[in-house]
Amino acid sequence: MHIVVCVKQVHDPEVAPALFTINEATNAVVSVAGLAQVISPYDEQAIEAALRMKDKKPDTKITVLTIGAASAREVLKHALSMGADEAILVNISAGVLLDSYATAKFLHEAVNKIGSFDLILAGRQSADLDAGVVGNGLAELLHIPAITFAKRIEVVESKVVVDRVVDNGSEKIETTLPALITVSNEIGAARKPNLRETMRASRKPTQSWTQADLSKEPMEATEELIKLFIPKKEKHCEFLAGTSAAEQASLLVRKLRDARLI
Amino acid sequence: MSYRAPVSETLFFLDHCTSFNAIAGKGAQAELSLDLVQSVLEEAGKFASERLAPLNRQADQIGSKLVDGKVVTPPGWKEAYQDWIAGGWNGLAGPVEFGGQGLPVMVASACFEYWSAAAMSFGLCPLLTFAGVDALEAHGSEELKKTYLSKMVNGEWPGTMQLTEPQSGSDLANLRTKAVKQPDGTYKISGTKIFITYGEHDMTDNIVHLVLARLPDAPAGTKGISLFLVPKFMVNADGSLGARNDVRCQSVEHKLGIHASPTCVMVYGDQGGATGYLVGEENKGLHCMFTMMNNARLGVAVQGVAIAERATQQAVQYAHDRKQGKAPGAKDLSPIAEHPDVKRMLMTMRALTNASRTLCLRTASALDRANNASDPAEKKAAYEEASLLTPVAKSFSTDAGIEAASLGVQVHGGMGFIEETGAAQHMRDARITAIYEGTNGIQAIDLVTRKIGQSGGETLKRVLAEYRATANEVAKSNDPAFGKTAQRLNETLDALERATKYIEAALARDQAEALAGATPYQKLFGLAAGGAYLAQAALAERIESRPATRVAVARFFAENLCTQASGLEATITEGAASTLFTESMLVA
Ligand SMILES: Cc1cc2nc3c(=O)[nH]c(=O)nc-3n(C[C@H](O)[C@H](O)[C@H](O)COP(=O)(O)OP(=O)(O)OC[C@H]3O[C@@H](n4cnc5c(N)ncnc54)[C@H](O)[C@@H]3O)c2cc1C
Repeated sequence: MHIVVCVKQVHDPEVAPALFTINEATNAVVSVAGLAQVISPYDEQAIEAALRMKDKKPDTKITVLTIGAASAREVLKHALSMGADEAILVNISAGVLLDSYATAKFLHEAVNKIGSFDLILAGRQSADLDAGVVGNGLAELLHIPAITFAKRIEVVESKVVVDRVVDNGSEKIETTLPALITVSNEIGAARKPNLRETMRASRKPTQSWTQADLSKEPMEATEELIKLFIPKKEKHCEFLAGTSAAEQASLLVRKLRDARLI
Repeated sequence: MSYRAPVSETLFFLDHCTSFNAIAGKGAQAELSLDLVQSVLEEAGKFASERLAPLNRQADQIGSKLVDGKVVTPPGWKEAYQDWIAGGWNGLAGPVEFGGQGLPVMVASACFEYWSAAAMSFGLCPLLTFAGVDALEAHGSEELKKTYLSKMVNGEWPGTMQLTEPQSGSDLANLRTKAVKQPDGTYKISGTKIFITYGEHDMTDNIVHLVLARLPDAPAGTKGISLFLVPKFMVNADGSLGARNDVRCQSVEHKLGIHASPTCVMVYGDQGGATGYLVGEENKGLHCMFTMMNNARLGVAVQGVAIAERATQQAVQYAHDRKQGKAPGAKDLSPIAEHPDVKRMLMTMRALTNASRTLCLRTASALDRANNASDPAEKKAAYEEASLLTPVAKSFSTDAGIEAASLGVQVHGGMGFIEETGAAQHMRDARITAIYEGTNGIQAIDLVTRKIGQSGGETLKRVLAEYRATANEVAKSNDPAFGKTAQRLNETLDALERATKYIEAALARDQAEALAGATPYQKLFGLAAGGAYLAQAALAERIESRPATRVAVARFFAENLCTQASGLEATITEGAASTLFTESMLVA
């Protein structure tokens, strides 16, 4: 079985907001020097899901695929250290902003170039922009079934059975391979790479493709990012007048209604 | 508070300012590359920040405790240790023959920094195992190696290092623990050891104690000390565990810091003596122990770097969040990071941290050069450089850890004094590093009486010439971003050279005079070394024309910390008399 896992490099979501600024001219997030970028945590769990299938069926091959600047090689190395077999970087210049549609189209071209696959996994959404569209978009472009928010995945012969998270529980869905599945955090913690695999990682095949390797058409965002900003937190303290608790309570209710909070 | 491993900082220094590229890809390090090391550092760093750092505070609050004769480590500690060894991390630099990965000391030191920064108490257990592995590999019999070494290399059986006794701390000459030879060639060990780190715990099913003891007919003093391996559980011929050995933990100390690391009183011989095996030769134990201690000293130095880094990260973050007062020229409330005095504290922390890291990595680099050299002269020179730098790295880095942790509390203001913030823990944890593995005072004596005179002073001369060349290169760069860096480095080196002459003369004249100035001399040496190594990194950065943060750190260090050089020189050369003739002042 061949599993392709799509991953994205993001600014570390665990880092305190105070350490980031926004470059207003380019709408880009700027972090203080030395802060590394990380693999989007849902994507890391997608790799974990693939590795669990490989644990059961050792002849499974896992290819990790990312679109990003040269620095995105880091997340590929992490995936290889976790135990993936091969990695592909589709190299775009730093600072190019792709929207969800362009990303899905790009991945589509890349998956076509990879050739055969049985399963594509991706995180349910990226930890930076949280759009949650790319996985479904890619499935659509590939004309294959998509199942979102997986918390458990099992391949049975040429079918895949997925427990998917819904509002108040989960549902079990089965589909034929090839298919695309987006992985939710309920799948559980990703494994930590061990030293031996980490040292092997630098010898595993890693390819770097450019846009020209994939298509003649330019891949550009069709959406325009108008403004990116860090919300200002402001605190106001207001004492409610009123002589009795009941009167203060009804003032409070009115205030909350006015603010459309209730 | 979260912790990020400073991987890019480590890598940059390894790449540009150490012997890394000279040894990588050749001989025993044929597989080594910067790319590989980057992956290793990234993953070691992730283990530190994701698996260990979250345990640190609770482990400090709960601590390790003695319950019914057994030491119970804090919740999650055992699982973290088991995960860590399952990841193969304990074998990072271990001998390949016994299942280790044989990576250079530089890489091991870098990873050890990350784990210790995340949870210093956690890192102590492997620190002592690494030291035990070194001693056993160098001096153990084939039989002992076969039985114990692979389990120690993979961390299944961690090691301890047992020197200290109530009457014998800095001075090992008074050791009393007894070893009596048995007809079967083993020894019966009896006596009491104190302050034994991880002497007993619940993380693994066996522990390998390396114990200094004295034979009945041994010569007095340090020439009569032998080293023994004493397992907690005996090991059967098939490798399975047998009977409990006659060694137990009597109590666990209550300490200022590193609460999660059990510090044990160990009692040998309740039932006639614990079975021990001789490591090396009889009465040559101190020699074997020094193999352990040199590496352990570098390990403790790295703990200093670790705590300094952790405290700095935490303070920088707080200083950006906390708003008080208006910085000069500001219209609104400023984050305290913008106040000049807070900037001074943060920059001091950053500069001390980075300088200590360079010192430790250069010490490790010299060890790696020694380990990989085939030419005996080159090997000796590299080994002597490592020996010279070890006391400087140990003292400078641990002092830096303590100072940075204290400044970290200061940056937090009142919140720093409140335990909940976490800054106080770093300060409490840091304090021990200047004491164990030879107090910093003992390091200074070692530096002054043994190290600067190695090979007739040639080793020192070579190292100082390198620092001088660096200062000159900074001057030659004519880069205004360096400010007065070159001038301050040169002044520091001038002061160090004059102080060295003074110490050498004083040693010949009256040892007390030289020893009174040993600690300030060691400090001055640290300033020269740290200043020069930071400048080397800055020069490398300029060539790569990246944003010049390393230039800024090197300049700050030279202009704000190296300025202490003239004061230290005066203390060394003129302060001895008033230090030594004060008996009447010091009556208890
Ligand atoms: C938490 C903790 C963990 C430890 N872990 C271990 C362990 O795992 N194994 C182990 O064997 N030991 C361990 N130790 C012991 C530690 O190494 C010693 O405490 C240390 O070496 C100092 O010895 P001491 O306490 O006897 O102090 P002393 O030797 O009494 O020293 C007291 C002071 O006098 C100074 N001094 C002593 N002699 C001289 C001299 N000749 N010249 C100048 N100054 C001198 C010292 O610098 C120090 O400032 C640990 C200690 C602690 C607190």
